[in-house]
Amino acid sequence: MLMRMTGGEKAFQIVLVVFITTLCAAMVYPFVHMLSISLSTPAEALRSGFHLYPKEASLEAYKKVFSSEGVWIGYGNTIFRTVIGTCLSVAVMMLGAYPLSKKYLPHRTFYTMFIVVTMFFSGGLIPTYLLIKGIGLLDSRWVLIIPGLISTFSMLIMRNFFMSIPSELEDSAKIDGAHDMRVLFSIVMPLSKPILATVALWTAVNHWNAWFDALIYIQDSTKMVLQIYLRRLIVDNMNQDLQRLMDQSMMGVQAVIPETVKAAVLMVATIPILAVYPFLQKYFVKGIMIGSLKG
Amino acid sequence: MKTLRKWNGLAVWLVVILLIGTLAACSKANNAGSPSTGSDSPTVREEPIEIKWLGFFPYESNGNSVVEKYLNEKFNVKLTAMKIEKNSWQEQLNIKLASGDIPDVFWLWDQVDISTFSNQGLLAELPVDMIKEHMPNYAKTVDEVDPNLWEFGKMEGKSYAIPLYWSDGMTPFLPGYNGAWLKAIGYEAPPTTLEELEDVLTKFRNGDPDGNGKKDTYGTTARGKNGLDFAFNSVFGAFGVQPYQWVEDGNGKLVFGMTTEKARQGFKLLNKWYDAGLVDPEFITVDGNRETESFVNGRIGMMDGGLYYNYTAESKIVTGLKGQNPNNELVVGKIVDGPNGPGAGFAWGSKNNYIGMGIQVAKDPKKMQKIFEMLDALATDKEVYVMASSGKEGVHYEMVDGKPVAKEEFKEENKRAQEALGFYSLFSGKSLPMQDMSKTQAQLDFRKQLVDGVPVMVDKKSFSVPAEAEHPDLRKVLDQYYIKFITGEVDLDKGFDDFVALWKQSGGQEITDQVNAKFAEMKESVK
Amino acid sequence: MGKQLQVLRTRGKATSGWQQIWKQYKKCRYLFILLFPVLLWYALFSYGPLYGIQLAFKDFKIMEGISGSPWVGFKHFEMMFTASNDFLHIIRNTVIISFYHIIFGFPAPIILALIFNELRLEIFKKISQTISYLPHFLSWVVMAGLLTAMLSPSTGAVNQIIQLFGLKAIYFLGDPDWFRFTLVVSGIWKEVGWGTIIYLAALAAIDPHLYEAAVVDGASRWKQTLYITLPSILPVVAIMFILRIGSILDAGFDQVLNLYNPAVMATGDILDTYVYRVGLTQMQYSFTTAVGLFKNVIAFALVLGTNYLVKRAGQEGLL
Repeated sequence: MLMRMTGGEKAFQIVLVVFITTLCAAMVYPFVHMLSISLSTPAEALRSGFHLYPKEASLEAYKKVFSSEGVWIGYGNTIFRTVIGTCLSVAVMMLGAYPLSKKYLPHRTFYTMFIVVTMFFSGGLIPTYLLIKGIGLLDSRWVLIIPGLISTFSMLIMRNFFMSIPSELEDSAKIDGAHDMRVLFSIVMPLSKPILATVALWTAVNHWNAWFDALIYIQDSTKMVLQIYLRRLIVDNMNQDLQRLMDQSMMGVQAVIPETVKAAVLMVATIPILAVYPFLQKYFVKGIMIGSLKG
Repeated sequence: MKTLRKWNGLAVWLVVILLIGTLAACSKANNAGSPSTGSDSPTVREEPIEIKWLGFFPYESNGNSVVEKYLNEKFNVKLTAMKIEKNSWQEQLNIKLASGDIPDVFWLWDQVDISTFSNQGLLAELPVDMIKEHMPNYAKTVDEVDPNLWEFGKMEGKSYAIPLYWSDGMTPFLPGYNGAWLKAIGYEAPPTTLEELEDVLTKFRNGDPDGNGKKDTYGTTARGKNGLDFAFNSVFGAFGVQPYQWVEDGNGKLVFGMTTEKARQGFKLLNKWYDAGLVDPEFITVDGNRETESFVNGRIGMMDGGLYYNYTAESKIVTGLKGQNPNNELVVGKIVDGPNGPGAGFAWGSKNNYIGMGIQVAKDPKKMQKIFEMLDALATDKEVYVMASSGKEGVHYEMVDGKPVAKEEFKEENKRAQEALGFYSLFSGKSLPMQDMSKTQAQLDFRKQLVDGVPVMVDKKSFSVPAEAEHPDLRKVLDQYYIKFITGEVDLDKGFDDFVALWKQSGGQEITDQVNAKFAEMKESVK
Repeated sequence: MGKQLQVLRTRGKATSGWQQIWKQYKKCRYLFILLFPVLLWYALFSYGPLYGIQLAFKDFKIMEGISGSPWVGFKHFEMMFTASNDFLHIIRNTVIISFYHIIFGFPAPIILALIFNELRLEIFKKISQTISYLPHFLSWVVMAGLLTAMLSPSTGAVNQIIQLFGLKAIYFLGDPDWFRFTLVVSGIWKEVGWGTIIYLAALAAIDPHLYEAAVVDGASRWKQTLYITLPSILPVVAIMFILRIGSILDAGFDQVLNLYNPAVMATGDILDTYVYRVGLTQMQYSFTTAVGLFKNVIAFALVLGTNYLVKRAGQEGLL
């Protein structure tokens, strides 16, 4: 590959590589820093200067996090909502985006507007809560999936992507006798792998990081999600509005939370979802459209 | 052929819907067993009273913990917990309240809470005499600490809440010094006057106290980012005023600290120190963590570290300092005296949180009585107090020197939540008679040694007035000017005067008038 | 195809409007089978609670519920304008910061995606992409501490580098003249990597045959980018842009809240932090609803406007 590049191209590549490497160094540092702190002893964590690796290492923080009651339950519930939620969401959004991408859909503008408006206007937390309570979804694992099933943003992106698929492909299939549904599954879907992967990634990350919905809709401890358990371990950092009151009322009753634990919590919460990306990377490969245009 | 394909699409949807529906129905069925009147209690004289409890410790117990069984049996009640995480407290609570879920025992953080919820008609009225009658033991201690406390639970003359206090609230903030540095600059004891303090800080800045040959040390810093309430409290204490507190002006009226002459003097000195480099110029972006780091890592030599418990051997500050240099010591400083006379230490005041009762309790005198009974016991009955805050001896904790110390596995947040430890203990650490249950003798001694006899200054305005709600962002003006006074961006002669005028005109005058009206009222009623 | 149907029908016998519509729907029945449940979901979860919006014009009394609460007209909106002498100033900050975020932050992921696309070494590409996503996962709560340290005028790495070039240290987070710059740059740093994903997806969908044909025609790499790559991703860029305009009054609440301090409020205080502070002293649910409505109406109008412009430019828009 390198042999096929001209001198100019090689130089260009080197410039790019240098640029990207510098950028990556800047981007990776905070993560490396937090990772290092999570593996440090408390004294080492307070040291000023760069933290690229712990000069005094300790697994204490991780032990504390993993021995915390509920962390494993939390993992289970979070994985459930992420996997099931993402699959369902992507499927439903695709099924919704496809019809909207067809210009010949009757009253298309109306339906699109119907959906777009909801991106800007919502009733707020209280009516939504009352609705969910009314349906009986409270305290069910499905409350973490169904009310958030469709992201209008993602669905619209999908729709526009569908719209940019050359109509010749679909028309030729239709001539062969396929109807809309068939076209969707056999032609449009395979061509849309990159966008489906993107939306899946977005959805999965949202599910993984979500905590507020679990907080208000779920009482049952066995259904609690990971983020809730983890946040409890680092509570003094989170509460800005109640900070003063916490200063007042928590006088030494609680032990001070070491920086190492906060960092470990961050790692435990983040690393699993980062591991998802490499699996999806194959969908971002060029050349999905090879061989689709015949004659 | 065509029909087959048509069913293809429908089939997909059917499956999806069926899947969702079945699972939702399953979980609905699981929830069908919603809490109903307790039918599992042994035959006692009466049916146990159901009490919905809003506490603020994390709760994950689902009702079956040792603590709850104990409380349920002892008081013949059936407790259900309202789970609200400290995070985003207001939002969660609003939602629950709006859906008709009003707690019987209603934890209230401050007077904003009392005011808001009483205005919404969500709180039962709890006249002070009634509280004193039904919670005699606790009420006595309130009077011991400060009879004014009863006033704070009132809104427009009606009492809606039982006031809590905290004994540490009357202890002063104290400065902390890097012991090694003090010695290095020739001080055997911490400074006690402003002149001495200035000398110490100057030597910290210019005298290379850490001996590394670089001028990289500062005298002190402050939490400029989010802690201006108590920033530089040693200095302001020396002048006799804390900028964010209301003080008496000598004529029986209250005036806002930051608008007084004494404050001007304090700012002038601080500005002088800032220009001389005694104050870390980056104090603007310093928050709690960074302040500790600055001190521990040898950037500053003195910090207004806060309450005494921040200086214990296990505290972050001390362990951090020793971590950098095991031979170093944290020297807890003294209150500094100033040109206006002896100084005083910043204190939050004994005012703390409140406990109210949901409006529905007003219609249920038996429940109200029961709640009073429980609260009184939780506050003053040793057995109940310890059970609620620490659990069962041998199971959750061991007695060490007469104080319950949690077992290793129960030191952890989520585990405690599972056992409902602390959730029902609303008086944890806040009850005078129970002090030795929450502090060791060593801690009490440490505290005594540091704070006994030290004069404190507390905010004299411990109530809110309507004008504050009409000018809710006045604080921003204060914060901005505070910083500018120190950095010198605004001068402290005409600039300061202009600031005072601006504040008054932006609502400050209105607030002052209302505050003084209420203050006069309060003085009358306590007579 | 719709037009064809129209033409067919107006010839010959007159059919009623409803029958025409029915015929169209029947023709697209499979599409509607797919669409209908989605619409149902929206009807239930988005439109169901929509009545809550009236709280912006009411004084929420929890005991009366939303319907029973008294009307107060525009009181909350007035409050928003008058509760601070600084309100207009705050709006100005919000718009300026948002503007910078869009001008610099919108193209950044596109450019980075194009650069990633140009990298030949697969393994380097994969690793650098993954690293670029990392900052997205760190919350501003965590980042604030790190940034304060890194940007410190005395001990921070960035200033040490600046001073190597002989320039004076800059108090990025403490100087109101530099605060907005810091917000925008740190914002880009945090989100640019994650933002490339959608554009990488768009790039992946480009037919390689187009490039091959261009190479045969002798087009340089640069020309290829200009005439093939950019036009191909333009539809995605267009829709992303329109949607981005929708958050113009947001300006990054989480980021500002964690990074700002009284010294930089003059240039850094935005609408959301202002509302947050007011909410701390007040606990007014209807007030926040009103502010939200205010923001959303403006956002909606701007999005519709941008949509119109984008369509005029020949791209597919939102509607």
